[in-house]
Amino acid sequence: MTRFQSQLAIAAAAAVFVLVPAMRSAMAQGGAAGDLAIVVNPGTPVDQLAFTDLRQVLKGEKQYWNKNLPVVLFVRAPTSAERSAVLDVIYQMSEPQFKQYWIAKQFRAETTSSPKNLKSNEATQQFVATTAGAIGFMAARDVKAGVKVLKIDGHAPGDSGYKLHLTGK
Amino acid sequence: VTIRRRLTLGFLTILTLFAVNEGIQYWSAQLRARTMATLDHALKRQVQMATVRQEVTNLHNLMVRQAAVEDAQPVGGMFDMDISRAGKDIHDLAAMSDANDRAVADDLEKTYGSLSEAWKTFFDNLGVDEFKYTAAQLKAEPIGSQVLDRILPAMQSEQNDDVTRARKEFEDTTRVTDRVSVGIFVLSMLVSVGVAYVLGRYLTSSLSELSQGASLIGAMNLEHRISVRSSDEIGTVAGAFNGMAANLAQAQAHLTAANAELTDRNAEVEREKQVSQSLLLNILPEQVATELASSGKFAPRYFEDVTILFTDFVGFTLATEKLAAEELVEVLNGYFTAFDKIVTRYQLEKMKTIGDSYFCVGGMPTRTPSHPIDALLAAMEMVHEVEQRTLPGELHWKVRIGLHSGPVVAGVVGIRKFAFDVWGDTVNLGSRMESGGSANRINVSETVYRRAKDFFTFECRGKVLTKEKKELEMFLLTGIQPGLMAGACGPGAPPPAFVQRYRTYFSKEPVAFPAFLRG
Repeated sequence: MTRFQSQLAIAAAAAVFVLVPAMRSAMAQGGAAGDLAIVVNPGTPVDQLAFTDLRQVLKGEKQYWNKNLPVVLFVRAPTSAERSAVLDVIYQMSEPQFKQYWIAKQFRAETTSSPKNLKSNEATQQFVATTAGAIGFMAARDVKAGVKVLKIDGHAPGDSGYKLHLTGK
Repeated sequence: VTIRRRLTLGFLTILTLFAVNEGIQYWSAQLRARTMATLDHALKRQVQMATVRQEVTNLHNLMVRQAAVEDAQPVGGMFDMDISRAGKDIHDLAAMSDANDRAVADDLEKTYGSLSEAWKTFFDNLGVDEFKYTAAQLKAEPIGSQVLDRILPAMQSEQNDDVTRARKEFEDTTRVTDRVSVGIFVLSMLVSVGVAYVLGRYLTSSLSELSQGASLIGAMNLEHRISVRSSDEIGTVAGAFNGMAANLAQAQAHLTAANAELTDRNAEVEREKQVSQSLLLNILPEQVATELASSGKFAPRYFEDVTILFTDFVGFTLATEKLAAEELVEVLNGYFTAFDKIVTRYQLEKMKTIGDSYFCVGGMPTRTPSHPIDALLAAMEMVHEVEQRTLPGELHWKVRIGLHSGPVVAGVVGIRKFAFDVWGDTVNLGSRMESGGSANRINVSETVYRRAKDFFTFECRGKVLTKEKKELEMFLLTGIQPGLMAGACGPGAPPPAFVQRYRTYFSKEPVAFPAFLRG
């Protein structure tokens, strides 16, 4: 490891220890900016989900919105804060467990589809907006028009009692 | 129906069944081959379908896993060959489809065309353009699901039904053909056994009846007729046997009649032969008659030792003047009949009578050493017979008897009224003994004397002059040696002493003995 890389790592660690508590404090005070929004295609026939239903949808246990509309799941690429929060709160799995979980489902032929990894919230915004039955998650602050943000257990991002945050639990 | 036709029909029946059996076997083989081909085609299509399903599944899973890889690298056309191979297999699967499955196969081929395009786009843009490969994945997933979850299962289900149907058809065909084959085989066996049984029973019963009938006819039961009514070869043979029996019966009747006629004729011939033989024996000795009858001639024969016996009634010429011719013949017949009995009893051979002379010979034709003794005993009985016989008119005939022994030649002369006769000097001397004798006396030659003196007593007369002026020693028989008359004997039996001497001299029993000498 070069000296530059060592300094960069130290700076990043300092930023984590200094900046993250500051951001948590700001989100706790400032509303939806730190929440994780569950977005669906506007044509999807749901406006809100119970947390348990959401978990079933994201784990592939519920694969159709209705008879003719399959669920198309988009996830953020690894190392993203959205993905870490979802794995932590909803899947309650580590990254390797998550990958193993879907490979197992595929080998057991429990699904012919698997989550599509997207590297940015913009890509999530775009694919969810244009794919029928699509569901994804992204930082609430990045949500734009063209997708529908679901309420979870009756709470929308920014509401008090909303359970999904970029920081996880 | 002839046996040949029966056998031909039987063989034709069996051959027909054999041909039917072969036809059924051929039909079964064809049917099984056809159903087997159908089953084979269905199985190949099923295998092809499984291959296609596996290939599509592999490509689909490959796409999903590649999409899940972090920082996936470009793969370029790495999987184009797999996609093309799957496309070719789907095309082959469509080519193997029949008209019913053609629409589904075409739908699969067409759908796979879209799917393969999406996969190519995905793999071409993987690691290059997130938006394009994700869009391709979004496009490929529902199509893949359609192929894997709808089209292929439907085709597989249909194909499984086809395989099941083909297998069931093959099994049904095999079962049916097997049953038909077994049925035909059993039927063939039954018909063959039936034909063999019927033919065998018919032949056995007919031949048995024929054999029984032939045995009866062979045992000369010619009234028996074989009751085979068929018009075949056995019937023909039975008819021939019956005809043969009838002919044999007729021939037997003819033969029986001929035998009866022959028996009658034989009996008649035998009777005539006996008459002839009797007549012949009256004039010939038995041996001479037998030889003459068998060979037609009797060769003259030399007898070296015989005894000649001549008799002649004394005063016969005077008697002929006193008796009528008929009475004379009757008297002479009475004497000669008695002489015949005596000669027969003493086994002498009567030769002939010449007027009132009676001529017989001893020791011929059967040679016997006792002929002088036998002739003397016969002569004694002849004298006694003459002495005892009383003739009409108080006449008493007397007889001279002369005997001489010696050789003679015997033979048969003439072809009509032929007679057995002897010649020689012995005959003449015998006659001279008779002519030189005395009334009711037996005059013998010296030869006879010498041979008989141990049994008889003689009176020597000395030499007597014959009419040929020859002197011959003659002896008159006076009786039996007294010593030989000793000893008691039963009525009709010779004295034991005589018998003993006779037996000693001649090794045989006396043939007879004068009864009047036995008291």
